[in-house]
Amino acid sequence: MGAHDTRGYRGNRGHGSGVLGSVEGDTVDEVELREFLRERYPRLVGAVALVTGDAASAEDAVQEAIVRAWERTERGEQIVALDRWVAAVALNLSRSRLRRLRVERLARPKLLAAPPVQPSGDRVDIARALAELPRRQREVAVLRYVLDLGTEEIAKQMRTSEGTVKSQLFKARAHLADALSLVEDPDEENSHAEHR
Amino acid sequence: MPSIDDQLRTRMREAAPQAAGADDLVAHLGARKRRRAGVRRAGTVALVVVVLVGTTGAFVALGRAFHTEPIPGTLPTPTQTPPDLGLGFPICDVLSMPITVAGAQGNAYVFTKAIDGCPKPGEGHRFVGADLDGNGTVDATAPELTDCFSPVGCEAFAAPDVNGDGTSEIAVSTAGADGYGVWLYAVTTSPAALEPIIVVDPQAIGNVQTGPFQFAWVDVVGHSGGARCDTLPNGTTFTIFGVDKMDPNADVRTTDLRIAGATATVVGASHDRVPIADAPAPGNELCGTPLYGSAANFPKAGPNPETVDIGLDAPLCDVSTLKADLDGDSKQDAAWVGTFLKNGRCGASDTRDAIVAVDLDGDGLADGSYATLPRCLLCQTYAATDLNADGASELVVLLQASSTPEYAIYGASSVSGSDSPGIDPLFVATGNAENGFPDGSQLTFSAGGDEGYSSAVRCEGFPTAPVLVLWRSEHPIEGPGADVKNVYETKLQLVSGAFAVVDARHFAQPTSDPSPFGLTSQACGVDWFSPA
Repeated sequence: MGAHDTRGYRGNRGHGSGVLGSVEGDTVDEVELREFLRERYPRLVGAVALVTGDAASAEDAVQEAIVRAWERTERGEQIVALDRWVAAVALNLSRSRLRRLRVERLARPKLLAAPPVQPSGDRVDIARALAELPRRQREVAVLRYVLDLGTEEIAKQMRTSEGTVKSQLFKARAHLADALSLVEDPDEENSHAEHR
Repeated sequence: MPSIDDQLRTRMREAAPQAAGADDLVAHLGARKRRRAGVRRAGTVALVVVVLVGTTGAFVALGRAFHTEPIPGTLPTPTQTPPDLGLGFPICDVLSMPITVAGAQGNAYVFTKAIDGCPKPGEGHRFVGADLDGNGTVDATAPELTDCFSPVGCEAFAAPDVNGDGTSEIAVSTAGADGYGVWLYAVTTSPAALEPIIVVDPQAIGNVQTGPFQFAWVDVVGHSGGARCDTLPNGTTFTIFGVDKMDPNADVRTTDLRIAGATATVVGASHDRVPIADAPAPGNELCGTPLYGSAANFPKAGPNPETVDIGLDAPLCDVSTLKADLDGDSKQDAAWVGTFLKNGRCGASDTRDAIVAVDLDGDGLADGSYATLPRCLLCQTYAATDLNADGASELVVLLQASSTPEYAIYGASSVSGSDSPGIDPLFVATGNAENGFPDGSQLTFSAGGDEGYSSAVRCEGFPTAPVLVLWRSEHPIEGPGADVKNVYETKLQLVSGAFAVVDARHFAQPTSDPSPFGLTSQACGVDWFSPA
């Protein structure tokens, strides 16, 4: 990739707290972009895919979000916590896209590309359990368990109250635990329940 | 044994699909960025000015989408006794709307095949048919409609002439969680036929899937979508748009289609970022024809937003009005809550500051001072009641409509002691920090609840010596402390323009015990949290 292509991307090297900064000269920090793509991109795609149920569209959404972030930096904007910004935008994109395509998708299953890899049994179980959740509960669960966001961050990202996030997470957790037959030591139950 | 949270964390991460990536993802993204720049056509979006009455959440969208108040003249005709449309089988749940076929009047019907009675909406076999000559007989039907989701199902949506050929196309909707999916059908006369319109995209430039044409009609937080017709010198194009609203801007993707017969050819596309207030929005008409069915309740969108001019810097959008005697002169005063029209447009009500204004002197215009309500969620005038028995009503403003509605109280300035006439928020008097009412803060309170939290409003001494009694309880919904509920009761009295805490108590009780208060209540002359 040539220097022109990545002009404007400036990121720090922190994992999970990257900053896509403003343009600084003509040099290209391709190393940092590659590092972000290597360190954060797979998990972001996986998280969005768990919400959408479609890895291809998730990857498309995450890439679109990254490109949008890139464009923003060229306009001099700064993005704090790039990975979370990308997650939020990608989920927004996938949400709107799903809304638009939902009817068609259901009506014309032939349009769906076959998954490139046959999913494992556990992956199917997880996907099925997540698919049974309402969209908001699914998003909350993924943001929490896959991307490790706290309640406050999830609330900001979803533009809702922390109380609603806790409620949604509680319901999602209960459903997932039931659907996946998860059990834990009763003594640890209270100490491990996460609704911070 | 790991906790459930740890198990979920581990298993979900392991189950997350892997990114396919690309040989050189950086190069791939760079190419993608260049492609985006290439297809962006700044200034080519013929924006539809929007009036968004409510875009603050799915609950609002649902409430609006399934609102039952009829819009005169735009309801499809639900037939009590199903007509014999010449189909040869019994039908039910018939919705009809007029169509034009080469200048003549006909009708489109959406109906269900009756088998041992009429299935519920969204179930059974549902079809769209067209009576091309208005003789009461269906001349053509399309293949069975699929995905007619409960509880609304598939409806007649609109009958616009999207290509200006003098014959209506027939739009049929299915109602989803957030809005509508709309299919478009082409009517042909020789032979009589009703065909789904198919999208082709020879240049692969459109933001639409090829195949049977379907577009969204939706307006919720974060996203909206719809369609419009643009009449150009070389013919009419049908443009669908999708808007991703990321405050304060919106990404707008449009796709222009030229529709001939049953083929919609993508002839253009754009992707722009505009202020949310400038983004297109679906309204209650499509290409100049009204929407039918439940979609008819979408708010109007267009270049002439419905505003109210009360003599301030700009007219108000999304106005709610309430009449009450706010200054105790035994005359009805007016109170308004709304958002300012900006650049000739009304913005999404959840993205703009609202104001509260009053007319105390009866000249039809707002008096000198008004109060600002930052970032309201459907702020509106809610009620008026005399909370200090002085003969003047206080104004109750709904700050947020939800399962936990939030309220604030305002008083007319001439009553509350302000120098200028108008309306002011009422505060908690200093020295009254009990139970979460900080000194000098504006009094806001809620009613209703969510898991782990509930609140209610009560009243004592009304109307002669009113005391507002605010209850709330809260407890963790799970984990340590979840079995104990903290209950707070605070009594406030409006004295000298501020609310003083006259009594407060706090106690704990087992969560399993019934709350000492119910959620809904009629108190101090106001119905608090009385969901439909």
